[in-house]
Amino acid sequence: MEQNQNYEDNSLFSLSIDETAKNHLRSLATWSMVIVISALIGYVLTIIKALQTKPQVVQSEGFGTSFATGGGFGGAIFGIVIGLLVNYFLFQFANHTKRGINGMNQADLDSGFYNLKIYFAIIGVLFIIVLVIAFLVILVFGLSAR
Amino acid sequence: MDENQSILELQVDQSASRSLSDAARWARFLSIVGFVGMGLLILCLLLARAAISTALTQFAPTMAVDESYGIVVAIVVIMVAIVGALMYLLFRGATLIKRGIETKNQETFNNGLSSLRIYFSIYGVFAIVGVIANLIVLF
Repeated sequence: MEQNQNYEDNSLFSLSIDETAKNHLRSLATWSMVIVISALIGYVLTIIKALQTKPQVVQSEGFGTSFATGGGFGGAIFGIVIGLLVNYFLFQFANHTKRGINGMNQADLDSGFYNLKIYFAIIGVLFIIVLVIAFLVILVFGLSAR
Repeated sequence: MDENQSILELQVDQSASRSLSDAARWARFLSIVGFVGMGLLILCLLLARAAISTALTQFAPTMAVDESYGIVVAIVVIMVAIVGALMYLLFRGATLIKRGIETKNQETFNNGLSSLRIYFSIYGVFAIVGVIANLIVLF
């Protein structure tokens, strides 16, 4: 009851980052950092894997042509670059938010939230691009099947 | 004392509320796309049963058709359950944060942060599991 009264009092002015919110944000920042570190380790492992897989040259019989298969180093690098971009903003969110809460710095906290927005926006745009490409692929295959 | 505390207290000011509202909008979009994706996956699994069974018998000829299809269904159901739970937490978090900011309700806002925290913690656990699995495969 007393807690509700406090909430109502706060709602007259603006939302504050109270102790509960601070704890949630601290935990959010910590887990975000775990995700970023795991992603970075994953990228290193992907590069190692891509380097270990030697590209095989396939001779196309009768046509005198050949092409390389396996490896997929270019694809791996492309994926890593996008991953790094996304995780950079997650790292910035974690870093600024933690600094903002620990140092009671409003500017850092605002910057942290801004980076979280960019993080979700980039993933959203990437999702839209993937959906459009998937739709076009289905459309092309559907039309060619007729 | 209270006045001093409120001056020093961190606030969800205009800049923060704008950023959080935009983040919540994108997060909601992602969660809805996730729900639709999971729905389409289940639909494909049900509609393309014959094609999947044929492909599986070619891939693993020793297995019975129903058995291999059952394994695929079980894997997909587990995957859908995990992703669905994650998408629900993301959707709940985004909705509550946005509503909390709009209505200036501290409890709703905190509940939204809590959901987002759980979402990130589950995501983090899966990220760690993924790294460990990658290491096992590599070495």
